[in-house]
Amino acid sequence: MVHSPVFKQNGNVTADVVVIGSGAVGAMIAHQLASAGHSVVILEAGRRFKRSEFVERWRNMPFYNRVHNDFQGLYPQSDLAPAPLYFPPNNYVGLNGPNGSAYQQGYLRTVGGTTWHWAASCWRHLPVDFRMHSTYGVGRDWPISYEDIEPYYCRAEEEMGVSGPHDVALQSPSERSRPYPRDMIPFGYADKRVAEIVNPHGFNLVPIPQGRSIAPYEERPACCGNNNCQPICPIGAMYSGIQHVEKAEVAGAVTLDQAVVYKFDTDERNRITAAYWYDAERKSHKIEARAFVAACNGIETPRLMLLAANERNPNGLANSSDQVGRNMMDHSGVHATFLANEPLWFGRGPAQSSCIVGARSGDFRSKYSANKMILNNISRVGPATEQALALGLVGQELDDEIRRRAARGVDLSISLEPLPDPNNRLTLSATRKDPLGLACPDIHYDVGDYVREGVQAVKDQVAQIAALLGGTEVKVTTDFNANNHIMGGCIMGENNKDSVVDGWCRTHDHFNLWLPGGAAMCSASVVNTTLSMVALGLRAADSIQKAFQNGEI
Amino acid sequence: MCSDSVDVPNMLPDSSRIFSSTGGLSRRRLMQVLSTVMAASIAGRTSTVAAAEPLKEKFYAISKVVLGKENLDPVTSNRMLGALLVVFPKYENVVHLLEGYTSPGGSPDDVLKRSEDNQHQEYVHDLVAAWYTGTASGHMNAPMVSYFDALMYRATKDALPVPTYCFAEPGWWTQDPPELGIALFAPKPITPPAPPPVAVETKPAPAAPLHPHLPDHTKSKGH
Repeated sequence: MVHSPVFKQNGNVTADVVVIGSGAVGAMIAHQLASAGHSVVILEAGRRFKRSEFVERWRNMPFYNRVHNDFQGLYPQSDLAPAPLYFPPNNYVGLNGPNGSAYQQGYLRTVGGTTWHWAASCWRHLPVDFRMHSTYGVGRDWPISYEDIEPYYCRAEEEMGVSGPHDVALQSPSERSRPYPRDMIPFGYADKRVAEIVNPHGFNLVPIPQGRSIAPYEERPACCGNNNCQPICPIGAMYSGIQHVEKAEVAGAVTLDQAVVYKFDTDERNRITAAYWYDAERKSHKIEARAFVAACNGIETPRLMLLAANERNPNGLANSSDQVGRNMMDHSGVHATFLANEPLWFGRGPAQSSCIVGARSGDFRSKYSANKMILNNISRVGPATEQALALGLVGQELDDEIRRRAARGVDLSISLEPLPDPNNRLTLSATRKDPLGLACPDIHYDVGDYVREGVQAVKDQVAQIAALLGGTEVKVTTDFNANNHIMGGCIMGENNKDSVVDGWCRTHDHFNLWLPGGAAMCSASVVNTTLSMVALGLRAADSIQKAFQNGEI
Repeated sequence: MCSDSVDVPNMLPDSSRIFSSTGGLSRRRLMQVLSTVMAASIAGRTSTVAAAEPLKEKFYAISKVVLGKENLDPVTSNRMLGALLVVFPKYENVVHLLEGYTSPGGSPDDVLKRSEDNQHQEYVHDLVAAWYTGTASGHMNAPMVSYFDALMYRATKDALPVPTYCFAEPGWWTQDPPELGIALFAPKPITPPAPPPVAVETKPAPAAPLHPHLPDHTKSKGH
């Protein structure tokens, strides 16, 4: 039986569950709980648009913005709830520290969340990633093991319709209790050719598990290789959180967009009794619920916890450990580009297809960062054109040079693994406020020596790969770039001495508040975070259901 | 008709050309461009910039010669002119100047050489870049004119779809790409270095109690 939230005339609401944030994690939790018969309200700070509008805005974006990856600009922002912009920068997130500029995250505050503009890479952590401290003497161990999260990885893969290799030799990791819902997206010529050349040398190029399929999956059409997964799949073949928003709504959940949560009420047992939000007209409303979920990932979730400080929680909600906002992580990365000595034609098929994982793990991790190298399969025509124009060519020579460079161009997107460091910290700005007067986030970031040492290994490996492919014009970027894999901020642990949430993403301080997603992650691995975030979200959803069943909430 | 007498007082100095072959751009010029662009509200409004019919015809004609292509879309041409007039308020003078280099006809190389003789080659490069990229200048938030029909995509249309479009058959990318059809190296072959010794560290064997699992669709249906 479906229960509906109860709306009062003044705009206040009562529900069983309020989910703050409508990205993949929040939407999937809302879907599960609404399907279980609970009344659910999703509060999303951003606005709601149709896919077709994003596609048109991308096509109408100037060449410079497109070729330099302006993945934020096609998503209209709410006037009251900004998100980071970089073309030009809007300074919403204040960055400082030795590598502050490396932390320019591009996340979306819009209904459906940042999986509108992700690449749909659906990686699992390795089992050892959950035991970094006990295995390598660095970082932290999770309070849960790979075996604990593995069933949720399976569920996440099925919810997202992941295509991954059935061939065990191509799996990373290969420890699985169920097969992928779909077999791997077949390689294009570039993947096959590079694998032939580099794999005999230990680089281990494998297919990327992806949230898309070459056959229809549930309501999604088959991927047709539009090569525009980032920043927008034009046909909806790629998984996006909006799909679970819509499923949750079919199950009875109600989504309120332009709803900016800023405050909570807590009772004498420090339970959350209500949340408050501003609507698009700056009017404040209240929602009373039994369970509260903040699924706003690793920047907005800790920011909200800090903003919501009250008399009982003067340092912010869930923050008796003083760990809210600490241990910020991302796969600060570098790019390597070169021209191969044969045509490879990257850009045929989905925007990401294969990845070199030979340096994903090993004993060296006691000393320096692991890495993975995605063979970016985004069409090289834009960069090739920029380069050919810079050569001053005209006429047929220009056409030929664009074709030559587009065919030979290689772009490796390389992720490195940071360690959690409490000094990498999000705090509330004392001076910068959003349009609602709420403090903007400041973030201090240092990639750390572990990553800096890892970069040298990356350079050596890139030199080897480029040489195997006869590479010329080999370049490795010297500045770290953000990979938008936001982790940390509300880290997971055994108790409130040094962590914010438990192994179910339930806060130590408030037994009816869950903070699932990237903020809870204890180790970064080198792989894209979304599948792990969703797996944690599904664990949190189970935890909430159990709490309802047990009468705890 | 010679271009030498054409007055282009407000054109950009060479050091701050929009599509500079050296990639340089002054902060001042960038701000000028951005403010101009913001005033024009980027996409959409550029086509409303009034341009007289003879100027449009002239621009279309010189574009064909500068690019060495007959099959240019006249509607795109009009929009491109409108966008260039937004970025360069005196672009009409450039059109007249370029007419001087194109009216004898010839190849794009010929046009470029004539313009170089008068140190006006950047105007040729700007026009070429605009048509190839579909944007009136090479910088952030510049006026946008054409996406699918930007000339850069013509050079690879047999091998690569224009992103957001596709070749209309799931899995088409598993087919072998077409022949390159041109010299692999230019201007001369490059001898790649010999591969160095490789030493990627290999990961240890999985130690978790879960075991590799082959597909079992019957089992998966039970979930």
